[in-house]
This record gives sequence, structure tokens and C-alpha cells, in this order.
Amino acid sequence: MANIEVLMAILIYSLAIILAGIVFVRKWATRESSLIVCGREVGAFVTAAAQVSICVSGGFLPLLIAYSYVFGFGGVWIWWAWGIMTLAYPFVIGIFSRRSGAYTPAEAIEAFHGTSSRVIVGALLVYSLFFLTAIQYVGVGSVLSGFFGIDRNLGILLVGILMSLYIATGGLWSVTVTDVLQIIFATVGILGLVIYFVSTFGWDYLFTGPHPISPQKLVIGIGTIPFFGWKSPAVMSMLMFNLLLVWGGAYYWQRGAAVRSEKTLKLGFIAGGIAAIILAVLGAIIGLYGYVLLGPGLKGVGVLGNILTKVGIPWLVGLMLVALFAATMSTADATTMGMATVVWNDFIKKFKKIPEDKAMRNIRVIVLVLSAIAILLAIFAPYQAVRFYVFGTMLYSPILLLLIDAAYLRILTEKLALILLIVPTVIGLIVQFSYISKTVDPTWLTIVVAVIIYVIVYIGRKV
Amino acid sequence: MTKEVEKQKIKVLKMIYTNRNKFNDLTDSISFSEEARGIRLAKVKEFVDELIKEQMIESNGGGINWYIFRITEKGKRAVSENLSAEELELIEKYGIDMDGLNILKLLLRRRKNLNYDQISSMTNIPLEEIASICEMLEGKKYITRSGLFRVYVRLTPLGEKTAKEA
Repeated sequence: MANIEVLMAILIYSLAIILAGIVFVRKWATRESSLIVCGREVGAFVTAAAQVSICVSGGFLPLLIAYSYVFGFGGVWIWWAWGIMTLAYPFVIGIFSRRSGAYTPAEAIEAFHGTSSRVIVGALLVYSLFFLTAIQYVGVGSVLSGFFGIDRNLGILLVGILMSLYIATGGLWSVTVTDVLQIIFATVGILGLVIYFVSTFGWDYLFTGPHPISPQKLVIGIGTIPFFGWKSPAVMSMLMFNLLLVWGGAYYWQRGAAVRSEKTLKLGFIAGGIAAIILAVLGAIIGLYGYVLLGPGLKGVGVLGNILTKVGIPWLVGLMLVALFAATMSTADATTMGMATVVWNDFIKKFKKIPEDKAMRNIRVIVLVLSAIAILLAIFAPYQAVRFYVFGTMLYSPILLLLIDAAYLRILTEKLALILLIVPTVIGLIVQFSYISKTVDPTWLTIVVAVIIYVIVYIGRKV
Repeated sequence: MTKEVEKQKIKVLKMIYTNRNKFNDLTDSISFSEEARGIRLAKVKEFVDELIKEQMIESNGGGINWYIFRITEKGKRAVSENLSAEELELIEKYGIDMDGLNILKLLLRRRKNLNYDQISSMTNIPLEEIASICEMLEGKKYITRSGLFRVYVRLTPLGEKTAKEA
């Protein structure tokens, strides 16, 4: 399917990313704090754009279209769940990320729950971020392979090298600036396809086309998606997944720590959440037209590929392909940076004396080494990466409770914090790899167990 | 108590006195020896706990407000004993310390908007601390901050008046 328009689109995008991520911000990354939290300089607009670019990921974008294809406007919940958690984030965890001054959740936890908790939380965060990064690489490799016919592993390698270079150069500054660019590319791609569908076929085509959709599917936020259920695609399950992903994740914490002030934090995250909610409705329109044009029977992320093949207009396909490419990269660079920050801040710097002048070089080496490992994981174990990533998210349950405790109640001792970390994680691990996980998402179980332990400690303390 | 710890504690008190009173202001501004760098938060928490115990500072409340502090009369006396008359007058009259005044004077002298990097290299105040000082100065309406990506700091008429007077 490769053609000159698609190739040009990818080249222009790559050039823009190199210019923005390497050339433009090279002089901004002058100190450790500039690399890790942008010297706490980031404003509301940039925070919002960088935030929403995480939502518009290589996984979430095709899934939004696939869910809307199946559930109509109910499919928006795949992004709405993220948007709602992002809207609420600054009022619960985000304010703590800025006010505590910690670069990572693990660092904040240490102040109240001891060094052992910090080490375990750091390890859990790195574990989950590794697999999350690896699956983004698998996604972007598959996109390149599908459109240019090149080997997927070569695609992973090319994108991996480009991304590692810009992250190592400018740290969070590079991630931030490229994320702003990436969300612009992704939005233009989504809008381009929506405008094409509406202007070419008209809105009525949804009811009169070859495979008309039911009016129920056009009710925004409702559609035909199930609301209650223990596993995705139930809305309840998506809300829980995003609660852990956003509130417990290291990258969102880092974003909160990088803003100019608490007011900026609130504005940035609220704007990011609202943008995701609006973009979800636009993206869902693509899924709706996809259903009308292609009919039922398609599954998963293949829906988007089939829609693009059906559209067949090279520049539009190129635009959407760049959107997908940008969506994947914006998430992978953020998770790589989050991972590098945890490794540097919670492990290397904590246990080894490193003078300030060598910090920059060390952080850059860490970025390159971690990226290389994630690339190797994506090349040699792509399917295992997906499986282990799902497990990784549930590890955020005890982390989230420790953060809430450190921010608001401060009742857990170091020993109790360790129990809270270990027990839900072990139970989740057992369930994940047993038959029970076929009916119940282990994420639910870990958070329920973590909350029960916390409530027992709270009541025990009062008694 | 070592001299270094004593010095750090006075710096914490001085910062809280001048409204740089959030936990992150302290973690960004208190410099540690290399051994303590990896545990800066835990170390600042220790300082804060000790100062609360000594009734030098108070927490602003429960929940998330625990991370905001205010200085007590005892704390003010301890600061007064360790400051020059000039700096004490600066804090009492304008609510800023010497670092804050240096930034205002720099902005007045340069007559243009400066970013954090420039301010840091021209004043020798560590970059990590600039964000905290500028947030305090903005809170007191001495400066405004703008800029799409990087922060650029601009003097307000009140800031200009203060920089000339102080």
C-alpha cells in the first residue's frame, strides 16, 4: 500500500520530530531537573497537549475506532474513562505530585513509608512501564510493516533509534515538545478522515448506507456498550483500568511535577481531559462510518486498517497513518521517560553517589539502555509483552493507596505499607495466571484487596 | 546538631517566613551533600518533623494541606537571630529574601524578560530553586510569568518599585 504520498507524510513527520526533539530543545536541557521535570517550567496549554497525546496512543486510537464500530457512540468510553480520570487527577493525586516536590511516586512514598516501600514501588513501576513501552514499539512496527511491507522488526528498530535519540537529548523537554507536535498531527489525521466521511457521504448515510446503524448507537456516551461488568469492554471495567493507569502511573506524576504552579496543573489536566472527551466523539464517527461501509464481522484493531483500505485516497491514508504513528510514539516516549526517571531517581541516585556534573550523562545513558531493552523485548517477545503489560497495570492498585495515604491520611507504618504492597500483588499474580482471570479482571481483585487491607489498618488504628 | 543541619534549618524557616512554604519549595531549595541527594524528600521530611516538634513551624492543616507550613513566633525569633538587620527588614517590609530581591534587581537592570536558565546563571541561584522563588514573587505580584513552552519572567510596576526602593 506504500506510495509516494504516504512516504512523504511519514518523512515530513519524522523530520519535524527530529527538529523539535533534538535540534530545538538541545539547549534547554541544561540540568538534571530540566531533563526530568523541565525545570518545573511547563505551562497549562503544553501540559494539556502532552497529556492528551498519551491518551491518543497507538493502542487507544485503533481501539476507539474498533469499539465505535461495534458499540456506536458508546465506544467513546475507551477515551472517556481516561478523560474523566485525567479531569479528576489534579484534585486527588496531581496536587500531591506538585506539592511534594517528588520526581516519582516512589520518592514521595519513601518519605512516609520507608526505603523498602520506595524500592518495591520503583521496581513495580519499571516493570509495568517496560511492557507498556514494548507494546507501543510492537504497534508502531506493525504499522510500518503493514504500509511499507518492511520487516516489523526493522520498523521497531528505526523508530526505536529515532525516539531514543531525542529522549536522550532533551529528556522530558523533548518528550513534551514532540508530544505537542504529535497531538497536532494526530488531531489533523482524525479530523481529516471525519471531514472526508461527512462531506463525501453526509450524515444521513449512517442510516441509508449499505449497512445502516441503529439510532441507539448514535446516542453519545451510551450506544450499545455494556456499563456493568468485571471485564472490558464494560464501562465500569474501563473506568477502573484508567483509574489505576492515570492515578498510579509514573508518567502522569512526572507531568504533574513539571508544571509551573498548582493552578497550571489544574488547568492543564482539565483541558487535557476535556480534549480527550471531545476527540473521542470525533474518532467514534470514523468507526460509525466504518460499520456502514464495511458491514459487521470485523474485529479489533483491524477495523482501522480496513477502513483506510476502503477509503483508498493516498493523502488521506497518509495523514491517518501519520496520526497513528504519532499516537504510538507519543505514548512510547512518555513511558520510556517515566521508566528512565524511576531507574535514575529511585535506584541509581538513591544508592550511588553521583556528582551533579555527571548526572546528565548518566540519565542519557539510562534512557539509551532502557530503550534498547524495550526494543529487544518488542522484537523477541512481542506477545509476552502484551500479556505481561495487562498484569503490570494491576500493580498500580497498592501504589495508588500508598500515594493516597502519603498525601492525605499518613497512617501506614513501613511494615504495613509493605503488607499493602505485597499481598494484593501476589494475589493478583496468582489470579492472572489461573483460570479465574477468564471471568474476573485481576485488576479488580488487587484494588479490592488493597482497599480492604487499608480499611482494616484505619479502623484498627482508631480502635 | 551539625553546622550544616543548623544552616539548612534556618534556611527552611526563612523560606517559610517569606511564603515559600510548600513542601516542594523546600525540596527544590535545600541543598544536600552527595550522600543525601537520593533521599532529599525523606531528609526534608525529617527537617520539617523536627521543626514542628520544636514548635518553630506549624502545618497548615490536615490532608493535603499538611504540605503547606507557616512559621510560629518562636520560629520568627530564631530567624531574626540569624539574619542581618538589612535582610530582616527586607522580609518584614516586602515579604522577600535576598534571593528574591536579587532576581527583582536583575530584571530591573536587564530591562527584558528572562527565562529561568538566564536568571540562574546571572544570579548563581541554583536552577531548581528559581521556580520556587519566582512562584513566590508572582504570588506577591512582583513579577508575571508567561511563555508557551519555557517560562519568561517579567517585572510588574510593583516589582519595579520594590527593586528600586529596597
